Amino acid sequence: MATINLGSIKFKWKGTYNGATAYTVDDVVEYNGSSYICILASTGNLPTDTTYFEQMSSAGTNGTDGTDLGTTLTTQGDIVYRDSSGLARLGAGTSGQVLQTNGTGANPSWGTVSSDMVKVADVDGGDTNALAIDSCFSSTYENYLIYANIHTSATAVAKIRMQDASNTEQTSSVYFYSQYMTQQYNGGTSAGAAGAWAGDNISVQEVIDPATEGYAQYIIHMSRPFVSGKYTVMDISYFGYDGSGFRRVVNGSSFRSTISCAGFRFYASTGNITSNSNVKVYGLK
Amino acid sequence: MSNENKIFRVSPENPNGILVDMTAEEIAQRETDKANALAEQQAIETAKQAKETAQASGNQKLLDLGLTQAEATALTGYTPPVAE
Repeated sequence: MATINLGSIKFKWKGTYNGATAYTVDDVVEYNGSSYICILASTGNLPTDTTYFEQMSSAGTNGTDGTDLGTTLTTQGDIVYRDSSGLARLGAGTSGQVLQTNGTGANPSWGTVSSDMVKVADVDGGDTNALAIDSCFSSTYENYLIYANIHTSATAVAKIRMQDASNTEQTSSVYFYSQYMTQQYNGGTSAGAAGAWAGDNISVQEVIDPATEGYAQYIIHMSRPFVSGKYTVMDISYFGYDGSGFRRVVNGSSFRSTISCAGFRFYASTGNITSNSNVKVYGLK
Repeated sequence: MSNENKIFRVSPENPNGILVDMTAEEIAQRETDKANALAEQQAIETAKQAKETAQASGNQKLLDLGLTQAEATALTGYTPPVAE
C-alpha cells in the first residue's frame, strides 16, 4: 500500500525558540514575545530569518509607547488623558483644585476655582476684647462684602476700626460717618440721625444686651480698602435687639486715610466679643 | 474679663485664630476707648432724656390748649409712653 506523507496537518506548538532544536515546517515558536511559524526545516536559524520562519503575530509594546493604562497610571489620585502622542498621566493636584480644560490642542490641568465673589475669611469670636480679621484684603479684590453677627459679654457697643498693611489698628481721627436709626420698642417708635466727624472708630449700634437673645447683625459693603491713595468707603446696614427694642441703622462711613488696609477689627467698648460671634468676608471683583 | 487685654487674630496663616496679648500701647488705647465709650453713652442717655422731657412737656402744653391726645399725636407724632 502506498504511503503519502502529508506533513503536519496542524500547527505544532514548540514553545520558546531554542537554537539547538531541529524545526520542521509548521512548527510554531515564541521568540521575544512574537510568534513564528517554520516554513523551511533547519536548526540554528533564528525565527527572524525569513528564509526559515514567517512571523505569525507581533509582541505588544508593554506600554512603552504610552498605550498601557497600568503603566501610565502610577500613583493614587492620578488621572489619564491623551496628549499629542498617546496616553499621559496627570498627577493628583492640590486639594480643592478642579480639573480644567485648556482648550483644543492642549492638555488639561488642575486649576483653582475662580469666581467674582469668593469667601476670604470666616471666623468666630474668641472671647477677647477685639476680634481682628488680619490680611483679608488684597489686590485680588477691590470691594468686599462682610456679614457679621456680633455679641458682647457685657452691655457694650461693638465698634469697628481699620488695620493698616501690618494689621495695626488705626486709631487716628479719620473716621467719618452719618447714620439714621429707627427703633421699635414696646409702646412706641422713634427715629433719629447721628454720626461722627473725625472720630477714631465707627460706632453703628447703640448698647446691645448681653442676654442670649440680644444680637447685632451687620452687612457691610466696603470699597477699596486695600487700594492705597483712596479712601475706604463703607455702606453699613445694621439690625439689632438690645433686650428692650429693635434697632435698624443705615450708616455711611468713610475711613479718610489713603493707606492700604489689610484688615479690620471689631472691638467691644467694654468686655469681650464673645465666641458666638461670627464674621464672614467675601471678596468681590 | 480675663481676655479683655487680648486680641483674637485670624489670618490666612491662622484661619482658626490665635490669642494674642495686647501691647502696652494697645492696652492704653483700650482704656481710652472705654472711657470715651462711657462718655458717649452718658451723652446719648442725657440727650435721650432731654428729648423725652421736651416731648412730654410740649405734648402737655398742647393738651392744656384743649387738644385731645389723638390731635396732639397727629401734629407731633409723639405718643406718651404706656405705663407697664
